Amino acid sequence: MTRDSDSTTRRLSRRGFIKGIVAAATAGGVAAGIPTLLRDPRRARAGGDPDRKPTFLVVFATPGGASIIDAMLAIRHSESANFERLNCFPDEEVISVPDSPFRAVDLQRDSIGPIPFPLVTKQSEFVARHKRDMMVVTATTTSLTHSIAQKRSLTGNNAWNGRTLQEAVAIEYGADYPIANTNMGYDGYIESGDDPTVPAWARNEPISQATLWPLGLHSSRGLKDLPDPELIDLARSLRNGKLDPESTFYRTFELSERLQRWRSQRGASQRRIEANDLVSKLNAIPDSPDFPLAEFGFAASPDAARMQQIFPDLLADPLEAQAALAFLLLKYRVSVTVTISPTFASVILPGRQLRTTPLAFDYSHTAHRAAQAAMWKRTMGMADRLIDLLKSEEFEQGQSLWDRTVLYFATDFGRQKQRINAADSFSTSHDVNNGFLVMSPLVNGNRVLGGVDPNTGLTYGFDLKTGQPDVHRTTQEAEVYAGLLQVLGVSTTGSGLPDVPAMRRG
Amino acid sequence: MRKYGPICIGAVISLLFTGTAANSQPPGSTVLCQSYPDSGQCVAGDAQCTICHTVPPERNPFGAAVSAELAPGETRPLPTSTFVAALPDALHAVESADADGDGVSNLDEILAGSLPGDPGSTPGAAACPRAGSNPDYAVCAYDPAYAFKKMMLDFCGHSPTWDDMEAFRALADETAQRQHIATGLATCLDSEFWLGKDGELWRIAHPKVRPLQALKMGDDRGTIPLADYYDDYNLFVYTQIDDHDARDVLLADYFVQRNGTVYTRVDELTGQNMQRDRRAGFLTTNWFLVYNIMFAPLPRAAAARAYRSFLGLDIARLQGLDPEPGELVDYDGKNVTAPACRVCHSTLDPLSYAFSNYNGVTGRRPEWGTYNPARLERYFPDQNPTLYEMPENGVVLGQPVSNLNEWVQVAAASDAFARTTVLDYWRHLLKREPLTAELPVVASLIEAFRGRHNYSVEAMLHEFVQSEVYGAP
Amino acid sequence: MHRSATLWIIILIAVTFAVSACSSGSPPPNADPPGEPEDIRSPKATVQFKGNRRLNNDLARALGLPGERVCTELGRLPCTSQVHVITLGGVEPYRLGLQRPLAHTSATTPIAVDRVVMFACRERADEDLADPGNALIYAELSITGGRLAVDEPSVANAIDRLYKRGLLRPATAAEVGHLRQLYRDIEATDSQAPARDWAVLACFAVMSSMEQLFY
Repeated sequence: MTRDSDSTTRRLSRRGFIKGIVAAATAGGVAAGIPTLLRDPRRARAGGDPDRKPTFLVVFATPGGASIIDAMLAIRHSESANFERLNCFPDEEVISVPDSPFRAVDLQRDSIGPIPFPLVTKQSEFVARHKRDMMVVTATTTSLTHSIAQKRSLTGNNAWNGRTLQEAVAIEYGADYPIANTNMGYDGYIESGDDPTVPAWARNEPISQATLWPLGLHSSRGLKDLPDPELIDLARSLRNGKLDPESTFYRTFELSERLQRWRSQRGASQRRIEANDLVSKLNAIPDSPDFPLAEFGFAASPDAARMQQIFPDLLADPLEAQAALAFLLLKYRVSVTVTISPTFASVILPGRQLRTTPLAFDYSHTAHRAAQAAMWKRTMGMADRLIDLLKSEEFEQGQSLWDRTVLYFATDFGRQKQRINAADSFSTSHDVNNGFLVMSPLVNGNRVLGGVDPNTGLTYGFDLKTGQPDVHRTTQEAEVYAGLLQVLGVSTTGSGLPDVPAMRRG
Repeated sequence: MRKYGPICIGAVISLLFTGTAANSQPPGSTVLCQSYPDSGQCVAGDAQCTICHTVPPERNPFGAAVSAELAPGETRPLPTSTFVAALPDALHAVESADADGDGVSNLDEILAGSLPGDPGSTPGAAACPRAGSNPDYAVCAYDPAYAFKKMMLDFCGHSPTWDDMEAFRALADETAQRQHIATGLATCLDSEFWLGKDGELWRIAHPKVRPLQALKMGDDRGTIPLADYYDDYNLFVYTQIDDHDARDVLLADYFVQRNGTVYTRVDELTGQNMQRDRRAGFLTTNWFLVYNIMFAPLPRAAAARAYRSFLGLDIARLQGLDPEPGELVDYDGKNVTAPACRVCHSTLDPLSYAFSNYNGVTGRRPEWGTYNPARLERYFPDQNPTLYEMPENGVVLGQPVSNLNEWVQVAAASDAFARTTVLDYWRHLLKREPLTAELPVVASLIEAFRGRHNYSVEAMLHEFVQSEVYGAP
Repeated sequence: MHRSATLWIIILIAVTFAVSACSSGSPPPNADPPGEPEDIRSPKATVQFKGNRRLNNDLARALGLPGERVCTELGRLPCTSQVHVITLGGVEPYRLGLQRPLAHTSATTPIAVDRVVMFACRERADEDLADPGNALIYAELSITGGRLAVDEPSVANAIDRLYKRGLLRPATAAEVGHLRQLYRDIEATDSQAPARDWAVLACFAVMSSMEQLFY
């Protein structure tokens, strides 16, 4: 814990301290009880072992329901006794990736349902390239409501007191990071967890616009005609060291958790963010008449040109901007976990480029096959670039960032497996039966945990210890959650979570 | 037929992780409050599951102690009837002990409203400073100047000016100052900040409406326009302002249009298709039905959202579970009768039946958002025959209802509705849950809201603003 | 100020307890050693952050600015309703699905607040100094060659106006003294326009105080 050095007027006595705790028990917004911040630390590990190297978590949310049988577990017509009534593909569109249990869907269509834009997708390239770091975990989830299901994909359906994967990782590794948990998610994916013991610094820092957010990481840079920074510091010191603590307002409401949190946030936390020049390092957008950065004194990131090359549409495509920012947040050791996500808003760029279908994967209600193909293409394409970036960036001693990253493709649920009369254009509703894609050098790579019944389209589970398929069980959300945390090296002792060694490499 | 064992939608309990056959019994909260009606946990509703559990069904130390005394020798898991009968004695047996070792007996903690299984939760002792010692605030007493400024910020969205404060302080006495606060509040309750588009009332409505711009019809149209949720905001705001009856948020057979800050009731509205005799306020707007029912034959999501938004009961957190005796029927083949699923679905499914004839987005567009007594047969043909046996009558808050009209009547008249409405504003204005010592105040506000305020939110707010809870620093 | 060894040991114990129990970095609450001011603290201490809309409204009113001039980024993007809306406690339910504001201020909230207040204070200071006859806060100041006659009553009056407009109370003598000292500290640097710098920063210090931001 970093002590706020501005607190020059604080005085402590044991009697007053205990009195403060008791008083704070009624002031802290908890119906009788010691405030969250002072609870048993075993329930919210603050920072873990500072010498322990982090494992980074990137949650790539795929809202609307990314169907695994429209990707790595695709079924061919010839393999199914029920292909006319089941979501299966013409044989030539399902590619078996060599030396891998994964399939890939390569197809072309003239339109994306009623949207008259052509579609060409080659999942096989992505899968062939990354198979060793890919793992599919079959699962059956518990909600068909988008926002509820989205959140459950992050909490394992309240598997660990309601804390999200991101919060668990932030607690484990992020105490020394300026903003441990950044979240550019959407709807249920941007919600904080429900575990009251999670410290405030480990909760989501929501980011609504990846392009503009970095510009708010310095209190004066980018504002014209201000006094010099040294003078601003004088004013802050006066405010923090004298005006506030001497005011009757502060002396009256001093026991407020909110005020104490504010003191901490505007002290060391703010200084660290500003001192690290994150306003520049994370700024990847180009200078333009719409964004006259140079005129206002903003500097570009040393990686800006590279980001603009790899993500050329980051001003028009929010997901590109998110991916660029996610990389920079990890590279510059700002966060240990980042969440990115398309939203339900369609993204169409000039030249009839449909990047995100309306409602993302949920456009499957209208045109399942095309929606899934378009959105898996989107997802894989973005992941491909992000992974390459992470591979190119050293963590330390020859290890890349990718070597220490887990990329989890969270999704709401699967889709209905049925169709009528071998239709190529059909609509599907929600279905709890599905699977999750996880990518990392740390997972049991090139592996499908579980399987799929080609005659029903339903996935089945696996033995949590050995990974052997087991047609008599399905994987619960909490098991996926536990397995992910264990891959990430997060200690789950005392949580009651099961051990899922099948998901770990080696 | 599936080969893989029962799959249950909405299951929140799994026996996979427990070494013992731990089970959580939702009636536990109700039985505890029956045993200790004066408990601080019960003053504002059913007790929390966290009295006995960490994450259900896992038990905390208090839950474990109670379990040890609960129907010893009986085979686990206990039938609900056995559990309900044996729980009071088990609770009494552990009253004098201190399960969490925090120095406060279990009984004292239950009565005070803290958690007897959590050592970090103890009854707090308020310590007010000496009266008059604070030069600027009347700490622990109603401070009119403090309340005036707070009221202006909360409801008008800005502080008073220095001149406003001087004039306020110059008023003759506290009575005059309180009257000035009341007058100011009345003005602020008509402000753009409070009831305008994207104002404070809209903020309270956001989690209930759950807008999705991509699907919006009308102004600010989305890419796939299905329904206009501005109608929902307008209806919600109308029921919360002036002397309008807040129960109309569930009972209204009308709609509302907005022009600036003026909300006007109308009998019909373009884009709203529901037959008048089947309307149930917020629950039958086109947006609510389109978004929450969509294509579902048994609209569990719609029922759960209504339960959560207006009765404050979140089934996903085991709140408001009131399992119906008798047989739970798996009408739509989702295996809801499996033991792990039944815990929630024995409440959720009967809660949902009344919504089953309300159409989401099945059929042609003019049929969206309408009532059709043959909805299942018309829009879901060739399903398992049991689907068509699904009744329209169900149960809400333990009371049988014939249809959604009766459903909302029961809901609107309930403690839960009044409590949720009051707590919505409590949380919005104070940004926290009630403290233990404040629970009687909550109960008083609820009683007044239902009684002398006749469900007028503004009248309730006037009383709230004059209370020590609000106006005491 | 001297602290006894005993008090230092107690402080050390208390801080150790706080370090082990308090995972957010918040310092432990104050108490009253013998001889210190009386405890006037509210036990329930219910305060809340004003949030984006109230903050913008109050800055506009206190500093006499139209709402849209309180703060913009890059010359055109509204700070409190667009660029920093979420970190300042706003919502975005329609496109992002963020139905509720953040329950607590976040790591970047103080930075956003500083930006907004700094921008607004610069606007007010520059306007007042350019047109002293119609100044709202910094009226009747004696400024020569960019330097302020800080000991004149006009400075105390300006500070008092700042407090009354922003915090709805007069400035205390101590606060006036602190803000006068701020000027002296600024003047002691190589500032080319210490009076103007002081006008901006005095406003900033007061208008970004906890008393202004929370209620």
